[in-house]
Amino acid sequence: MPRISPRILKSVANIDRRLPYLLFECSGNISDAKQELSWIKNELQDANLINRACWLRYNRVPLQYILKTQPFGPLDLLVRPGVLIPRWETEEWCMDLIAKLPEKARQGQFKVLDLCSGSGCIALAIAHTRTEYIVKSVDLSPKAIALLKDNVRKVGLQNTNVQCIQADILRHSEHIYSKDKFNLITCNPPYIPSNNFVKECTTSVKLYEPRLALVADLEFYDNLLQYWIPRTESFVYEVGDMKQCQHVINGLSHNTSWKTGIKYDSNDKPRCVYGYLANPESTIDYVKIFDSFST
Amino acid sequence: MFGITVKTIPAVRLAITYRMLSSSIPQTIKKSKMPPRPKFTDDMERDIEEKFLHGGRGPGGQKINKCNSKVQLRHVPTGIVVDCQATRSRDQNRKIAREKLALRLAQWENGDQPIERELAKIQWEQQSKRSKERKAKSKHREAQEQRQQQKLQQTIEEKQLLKSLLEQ
Ligand SMILES: C[S@@+](CC[C@H](N)C(=O)[O-])C[C@H]1O[C@@H](n2cnc3c(N)ncnc32)[C@H](O)[C@@H]1O
Repeated sequence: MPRISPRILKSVANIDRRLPYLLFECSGNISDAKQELSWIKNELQDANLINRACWLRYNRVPLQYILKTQPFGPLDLLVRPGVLIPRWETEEWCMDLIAKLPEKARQGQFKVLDLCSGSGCIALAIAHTRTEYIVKSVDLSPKAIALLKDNVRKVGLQNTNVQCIQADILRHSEHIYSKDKFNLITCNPPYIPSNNFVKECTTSVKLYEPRLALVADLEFYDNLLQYWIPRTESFVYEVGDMKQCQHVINGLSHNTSWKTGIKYDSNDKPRCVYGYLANPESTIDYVKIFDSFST
Repeated sequence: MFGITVKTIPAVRLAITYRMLSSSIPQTIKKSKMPPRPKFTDDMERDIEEKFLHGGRGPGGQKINKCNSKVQLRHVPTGIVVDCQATRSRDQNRKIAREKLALRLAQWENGDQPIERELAKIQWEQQSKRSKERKAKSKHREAQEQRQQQKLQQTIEEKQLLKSLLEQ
């Protein structure tokens, strides 16, 4: 917890007596705290609820769990405890990817699988902007599946080709949608190695977000190489560090039909590893999609 | 210099601009007939550099959960920079930043003077303030008249009562 001097706490309390509570999660940045208060006031209105929200923020509860939503691209998704809150990094690469995906695929011709789908942000952003695609998703957590189903309704996709199932992809990969082959597999797997978890995660993340969504190292990337590569023509996996990128790239280096690459986020961190078949069975031009995806 | 807003323009200059433009702006303004908001054009889109600022040098990703997403636009030919973090949505902030930039460019093209729409807005605000005042005044007057009317009625009734008592 950053030390914030009593003098500063007192002076911001003069602006609004609820501001001091927000200052801690804003690392002492007063204009951030003001910004947050204005969002809270806008979305909650009732004075008691606003006060309670500020108290919860002082206790490190993520703002999105308090306000119950998180914007993701054009969508406003529901979020709740037990399911990871979508990050801006994920939104960034996901929207960049969508912008490159072919617009005029014939009905049902383009099949996407989103693994570890959580709230459903990636799957639903794709399904929402590319309505003729088939989008399937998997998560191990029953809470995530329940939330995803609520989000399907929230964004008005209940009568479309969006499917989800609850399954452990590390154990039953070959039984998941076993008859399907995919054009694209997306995945934001847990990627924080357990020995870094305590050191590198913020208190709020450690206290309030599910460990199941966060902690793993190379398991999901190995799982990609072993089970999903034979079933897809392209993939995008989010990563936490360069080592995870390298692991996937090295794993495919002997296989000349796969092209791979790394995408950085706007904070200049390696954020995705991707790959595609230069000569796929389908007529999709993956070179065109991925050439501009990484820049 | 680019950061000039209506508020910081000296009153004298504003008054002059008023007179200059008074011919092009009708005396009373309807809200529905405001001069349009400056449009953000495809040309402008080609001329901008867009940056997303999330602060912090940490590892990011799943390890931290940030709620703010600030968008910054730089219009390369003029060097004008605007930013927006008004909402929690990056999409929304991108749209608002573009509206801001379009307005700033329109002001810039107008020699850093407020554009017609802003002047019309000021006038409209004053107009509605005046009409509110008028309404408030007329309400006050109505109440006064009503009270006088009541008084008059009372005196008439009292007089009639007196008269009838005397006549008995
Ligand atoms: C980092 S979160 C990503 C959630 C969402 N896609 C996003 O980007 O916000 C990882 C998700 O993987 C799920 N998960 C963890 N282990 C899993 C497994 N063995 N099989 C399937 N899903 C798993 C968690 O429940 C969690 O929802």
